[in-house]
Amino acid sequence: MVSQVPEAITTRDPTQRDTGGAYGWATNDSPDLRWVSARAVAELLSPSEPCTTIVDGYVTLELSDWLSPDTSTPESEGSQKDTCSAPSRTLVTVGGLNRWWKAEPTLNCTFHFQGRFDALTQEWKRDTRASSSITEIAMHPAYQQIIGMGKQALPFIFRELQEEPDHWFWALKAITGEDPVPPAARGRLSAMRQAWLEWAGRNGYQAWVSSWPL
Amino acid sequence: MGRPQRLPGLGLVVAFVTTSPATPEYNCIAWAAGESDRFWWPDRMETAYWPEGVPRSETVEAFIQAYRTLGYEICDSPALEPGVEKIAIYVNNRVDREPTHAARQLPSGKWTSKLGRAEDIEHDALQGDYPPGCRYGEEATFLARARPATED
Repeated sequence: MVSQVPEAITTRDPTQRDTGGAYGWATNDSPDLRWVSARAVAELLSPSEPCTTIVDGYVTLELSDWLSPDTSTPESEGSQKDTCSAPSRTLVTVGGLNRWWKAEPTLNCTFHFQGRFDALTQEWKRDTRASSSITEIAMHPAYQQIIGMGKQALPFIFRELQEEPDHWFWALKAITGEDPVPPAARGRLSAMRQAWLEWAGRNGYQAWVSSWPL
Repeated sequence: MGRPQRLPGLGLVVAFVTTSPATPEYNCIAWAAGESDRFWWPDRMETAYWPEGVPRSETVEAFIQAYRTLGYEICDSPALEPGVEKIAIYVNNRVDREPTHAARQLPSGKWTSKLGRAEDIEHDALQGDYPPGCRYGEEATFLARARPATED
């Protein structure tokens, strides 16, 4: 069954002030999306400078200087570095995103992007399970839509690849234009998976891969 | 695994037996060639293994050439012959008749198939014995070679 994209984000204002949403919190209360917040935020902050860590089930988010100061933010709430912790398996709460939230409405898009990726992946795996043709597997409409997502799909593909080997290599080659797999390893999924995860490390994705709890 | 499967609620025993867990590590083309550690396919993206020197072309001719690298040659029928190992190559029912699947004959006369990224199965007939959802078209070509001594 194709999963529906949940309503992943609700916003609330912990200060109970009329802030027009500028000081709201982004909350992911969907158990299906329990890792999205950390990745989504890390992706938008900087893939090459990971700023998110997950320790003992808690997410710690540090906002970096990538964010431009919001002069309208009160001093007590507007520091350049905010930390928020929450039990990530049940609720990932990202706090202190006031300026970013205001400046980058794509947070919603990213959450929904994850849901769309997961739904397409399920559809693709279900429909192509009995196919031996790599071409048929890769030309499935759901797989093609994932390729169409471009580089934004890479973190999610690497997460899938880390969890279990599967035929993501066509998509990775199509999206990146690269092929780190030696010719002798073609068709050997374990070796291909290893080559691509190493590529992920060299290109700023490794911190995410290693920090994704399974 | 290892027993004929009964479809729930239908009282039917299907004519195949699963003989391995599902895995994406190899496919039917590799399995027919006796391999279970890499995925064979002549994709132009070159993500799968294909024998060196054989065109990466999704045609029956290219598949025959691939199996020729292992000593197979075209034969007339799938009938069991002592000391001979046979492979059936399937093609789709479209005009292009591209290869879709391959099965290898066992010494017993039964056939063994890998179902894409799913399980291996053992089946009696080349048609009609596949699980629901497997649409492999029809067998178009048969290949044969001397059966390796260890399998007799």
